[in-house]
Amino acid sequence: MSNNSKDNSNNNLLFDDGNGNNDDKNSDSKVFINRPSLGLKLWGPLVPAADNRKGLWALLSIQTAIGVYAFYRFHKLSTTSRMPVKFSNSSTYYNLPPSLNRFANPQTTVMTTRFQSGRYLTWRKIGALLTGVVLLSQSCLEFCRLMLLPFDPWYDEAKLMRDKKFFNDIIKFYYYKDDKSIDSIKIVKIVNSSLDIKTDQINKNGNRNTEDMSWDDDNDRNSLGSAERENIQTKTLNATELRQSMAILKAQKEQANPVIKWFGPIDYKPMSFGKYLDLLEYYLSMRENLEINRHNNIDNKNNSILSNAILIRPGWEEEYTELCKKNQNWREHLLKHSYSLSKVNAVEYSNSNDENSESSSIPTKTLARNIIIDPAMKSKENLDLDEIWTLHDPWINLALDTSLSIKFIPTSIKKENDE
Amino acid sequence: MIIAHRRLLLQGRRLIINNNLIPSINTKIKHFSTHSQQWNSFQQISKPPNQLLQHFSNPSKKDPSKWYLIIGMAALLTIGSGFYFDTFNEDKTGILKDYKYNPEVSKYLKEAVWMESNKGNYNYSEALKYYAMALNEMPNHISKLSDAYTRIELKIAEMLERLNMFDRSKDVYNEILNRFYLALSDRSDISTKISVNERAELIRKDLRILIKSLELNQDIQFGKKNLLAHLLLVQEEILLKSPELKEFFDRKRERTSKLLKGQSLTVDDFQVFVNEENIKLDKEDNGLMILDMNKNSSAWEPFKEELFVARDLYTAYCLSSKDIASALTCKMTTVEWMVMADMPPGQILLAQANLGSLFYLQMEKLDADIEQINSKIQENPDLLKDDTIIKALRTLNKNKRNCLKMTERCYDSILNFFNKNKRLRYHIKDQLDTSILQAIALSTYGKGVLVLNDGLLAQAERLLKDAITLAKEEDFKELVNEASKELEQVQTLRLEQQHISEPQKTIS
Repeated sequence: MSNNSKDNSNNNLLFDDGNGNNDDKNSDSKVFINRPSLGLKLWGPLVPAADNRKGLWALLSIQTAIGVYAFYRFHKLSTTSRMPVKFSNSSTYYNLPPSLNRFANPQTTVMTTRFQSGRYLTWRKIGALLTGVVLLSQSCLEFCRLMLLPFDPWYDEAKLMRDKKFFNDIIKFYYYKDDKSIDSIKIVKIVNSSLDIKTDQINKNGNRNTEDMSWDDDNDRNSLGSAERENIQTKTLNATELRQSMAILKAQKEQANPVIKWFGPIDYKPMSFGKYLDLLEYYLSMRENLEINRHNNIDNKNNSILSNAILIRPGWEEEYTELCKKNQNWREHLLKHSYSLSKVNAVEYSNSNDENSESSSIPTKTLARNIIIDPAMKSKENLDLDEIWTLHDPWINLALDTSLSIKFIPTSIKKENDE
Repeated sequence: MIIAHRRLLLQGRRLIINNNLIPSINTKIKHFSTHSQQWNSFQQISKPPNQLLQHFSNPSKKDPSKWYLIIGMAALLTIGSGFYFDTFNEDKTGILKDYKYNPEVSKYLKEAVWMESNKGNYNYSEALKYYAMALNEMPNHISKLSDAYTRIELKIAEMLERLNMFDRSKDVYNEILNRFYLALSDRSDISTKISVNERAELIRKDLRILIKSLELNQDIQFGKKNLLAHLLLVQEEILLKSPELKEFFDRKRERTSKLLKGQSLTVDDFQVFVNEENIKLDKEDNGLMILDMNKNSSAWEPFKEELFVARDLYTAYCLSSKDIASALTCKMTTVEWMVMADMPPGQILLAQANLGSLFYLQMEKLDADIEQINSKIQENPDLLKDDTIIKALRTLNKNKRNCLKMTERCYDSILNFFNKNKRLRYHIKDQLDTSILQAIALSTYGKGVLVLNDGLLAQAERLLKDAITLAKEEDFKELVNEASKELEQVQTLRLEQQHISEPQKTIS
């Protein structure tokens, strides 16, 4: 996996990701571009991806610490320098202050004086001061970027690229065929066990990650996410499903690769600083525009695009409070008269059957996603709510429900003409 | 993070080494400094002896430790504020955060989950009650926008749906929807209420609920209004971050002003988006369609999927209210935006195919209009002398031709792309993304229909048959049905033709 293409022209560092996942042979994508930052530029290629917040903070704190240490050096040098400067000016050994220490070695003191000769010391002092100032000001810059900016284009970009890479990896691994034929039972076993691992991971990573993963790029992947869950329960897999889950697993493994975790996808080029500033400026000006527009709706001619959205439908708030009350009342009613539900249910059921025959397809869709608890579980108290929420997150279920694919099918017009 | 840990470890090791070194250095410094201090002390007689003594006893050790402490503090401070920033500050309403329910609520929730599951025999009405109790028990300080709160609400809605109480569940969805909308549209105190990251996430959820509520909704006008309001909100959000979109709007404004001036749109104004430029293939010439890593479409994240589904719904609403023109413009914008947002290739292909179908529908409508006018003219031939009617007929005809051309271009672009891409052609049945196959089936069918309209029966038959096999592969039933109908028609037409031609032969 070593790459020998020496076409790095300007400060670009050739990067070898070490894990053998650079499959593309003759591509220029291997030129690794330093990850962008405002104040961590001194770290060169070590700067993490912009969405690796922890990495950024770690580097920032190390840099700050070194900066403070440089100041400390400066402080120390300038306090101790008063003496040595004096006695280095003295030309002879005899002009040294009298030593009370009998074992004091005059040779060493001479050495020290040479080392701490005035010029050398001032250079050191200046050096320490400069390093301190530079490091701390840089840290300050980066700190401001991380803390104060309302919108960070680099961060968004890095995050997006990670997602894109995940998608591309899935496709790559799905079509990538192994020459070695492993017998299928073995694969099923591996996949099943690793699916278990994956669910563990999901549990650990918490709800947000799983959501990102299953609801990322593609409708089919979403349905696949749910399919996967069922697979864990039923432990049956067919060939395409197996390939799909294998691809996802491989892509996840790739994502968990420490190098990629730190730097983000290796082969993406972060936007330049100029572009970054442009985007930031654009964002801020647009926001200001928006604010102004909101305040005085009169001046709409300039950006008519924005003005439309400002109009909140009149009565929206009243409608909301009304709905709140209605639902609240209904809930209380439900809790008070627990028996009434079955009646209400029956009535509404007949209603819904009459009125909306179209929507009768909805329950069958959701019915596929029942919660199934391990039969070994005996009591309710032992239920792990977090696990259930992550496996059956209502928001993800909703996402799966709402990933529709709408198609329009034309019919030929000759039909009427001819008949 | 592992690297970060390692780095920290290294740092630690270095510190330890330094500490080991310190005694030896210190002794030297001591030697040296005793001289200096003494020399100093001659001059500083004014100092009280006690202090001097203290100064002598531990002159240099004190300083470094203090400074190490300060360095450590500085590092800790930055790290601490960083983590504060990353966890707490970003998450004012808890949309992105897991919330631990208090024991009261979690008791009810466990009860509810138990009832809902196989353990409780899928007793949804009981589960519903427990979920309602849990919601009533939620402490007031929990934001109603947070996951902790909305999840329970969603569960209630889901239970209601399972109990076939769609009206009630619609109310629940609408409540969440309105709450989200109010929170999102209130930008005045954006800095205090929702952070930027949360905003995007909230919009995504808002769109999901919107789509769901529209699924349950029967009132077209209400749905359309709701859709528009929410879509504009999202648009505004994207516009904030995407200069590209602003350019798009500028271009669009230019185009409309052109239209107002009376210049009609030509076919050249219309672009097809399915080509090698917009759909990136991987470098090894495998023909795998991948996402472009050099394209920054972060302004559309993370809600682009939901956004395009919602836009498609809007198109469908326009169609169902017979407003084909606005459906068409909406879909055209959608396709362009999809390319901007760098959607998965399958989605773009499908959108382009759908756009073709919409053009076809528009063409049909224009055709019907022409027919109507023609029939009127037949009734009353005097109308032919009217200039306005002739003009109208001319523009209608022209538009119809344009629409046909554009339909053809839409379908052709997909079919060309498909034919050029060997991988796609030979492994068509082996697609991870089903929408690719659907798009190709749809455009093959559409092309077949077009050809049929032109009267090329043999070609139409072949295309339709292809479409049927493709659609069957993907279980695309609607298309299979339509295509079989068309195919029957073609076959009857061919039989008729043969009947016509056979007698001719006998005569000759």
